[in-house]
Amino acid sequence: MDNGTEFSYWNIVSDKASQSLYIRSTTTLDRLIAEEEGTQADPDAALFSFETNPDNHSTSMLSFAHEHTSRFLALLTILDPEYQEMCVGYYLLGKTEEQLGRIYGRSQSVTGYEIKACITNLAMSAALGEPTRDNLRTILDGCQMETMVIQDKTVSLSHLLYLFIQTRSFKDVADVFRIHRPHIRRLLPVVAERLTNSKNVKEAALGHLINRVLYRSDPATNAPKERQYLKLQDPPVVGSFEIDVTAEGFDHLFTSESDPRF
Amino acid sequence: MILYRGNRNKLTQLSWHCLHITSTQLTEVLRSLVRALKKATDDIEVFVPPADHSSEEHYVFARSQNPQTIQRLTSVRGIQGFACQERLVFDGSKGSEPTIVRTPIRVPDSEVQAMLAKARLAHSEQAQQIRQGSFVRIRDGQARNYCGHVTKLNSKRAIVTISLPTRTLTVDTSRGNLLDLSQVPEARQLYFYSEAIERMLTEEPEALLSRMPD
Repeated sequence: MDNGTEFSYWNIVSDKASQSLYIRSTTTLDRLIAEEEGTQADPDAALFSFETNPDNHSTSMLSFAHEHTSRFLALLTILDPEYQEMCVGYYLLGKTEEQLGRIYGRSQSVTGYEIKACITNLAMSAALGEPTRDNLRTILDGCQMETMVIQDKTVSLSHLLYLFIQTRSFKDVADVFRIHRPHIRRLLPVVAERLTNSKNVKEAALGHLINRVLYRSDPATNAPKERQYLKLQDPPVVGSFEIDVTAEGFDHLFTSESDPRF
Repeated sequence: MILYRGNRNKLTQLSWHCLHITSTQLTEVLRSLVRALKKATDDIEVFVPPADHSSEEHYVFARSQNPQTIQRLTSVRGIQGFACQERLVFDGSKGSEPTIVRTPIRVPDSEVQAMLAKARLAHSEQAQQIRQGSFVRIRDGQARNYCGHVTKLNSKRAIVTISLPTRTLTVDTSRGNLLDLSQVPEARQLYFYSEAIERMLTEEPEALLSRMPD
């Protein structure tokens, strides 16, 4: 994935906004688990976050990955292969952000940021479900945004968004609705921001999806990256039975495990 | 595993102190223990028996000519202190109450040597089980917990190839750092094979291909 594209996304969505969306995405996962198990989700779940309540195991992504491994892996398939690997490494194998960063050629902080972004994407996609036209209409009806007047023309926003998500082209949408293209280009970020700030999870998820489509290239049309090869060498001290603590390469012993309780 | 600093020959015949560890993060405790051993100025030897990492209770054995050196290890995060024998003592004087007296357990060298020989044998046998083409998990180091196949092997070292969807990692490591997982069926030999995956595949065998990442 192009790092530059990912960063432009994060620059546009401010730190504060993305962080709150991330926190809400974790509580969304909690609700989804409860729904799947047929239990009642915590009514105060919206008040919880992993940062403020790390002991709430039901909201821990780590326990979700280990207790619902099948569901976790199924969710991952919406991500790019590289991000799938990173999430598997972090949540299932206990790799730290630093270790993953070394393998994937990123700094620790960028790796951490990307893993959080992945979790936001996973939860938002799970909350939204398939972005069909009917699904979009139901959500937009709920927030009185379904019908919109643009250039004196009444348009169905769900239809417009559905087309944009399918085509990822302002021009194609403008041609269908016979609207000046810049109007569409200016409208969509405003709609996305309004939906993202909504208290309703489905509306926020739709806003997030529009943002993703707006600011990220389509992974389906990206040329596949060349396979990368990486060589790692452990010092002799790793795997020995008798170890002199003053030996060279000692830092590679007892490699840290991630503590993904966020 | 034995961790030592200085001349171990000076310590033969000395009895061992037993240190109690209470932590689910044993690796982190051992990492801190190693840092503390590095700072030690006296000869010291620590035996770490093979442990069940899912357990919270662990014991390690340490010996040194200087008791202060061992005492300092109890300040390592995760080490609760010396494993002690508790005795109820009552001196019989008027108005006195029975009190609990804790005495650190000293384990005779012969007992620890027996455990050590067993652990050394298990470690050696495990390394000998590895064959070219074996499916293995890397136990420590930069590629810790990744699984792959052994592509080259000599008496001490092994080259493990880990095939991730987007890249191939080639890890040169010692044979003792590998856990043989050859009993895992070929269809389940994934780079992220773990207990969680095994559990999932046992519960939902049909999910194997449809739900795996690429």
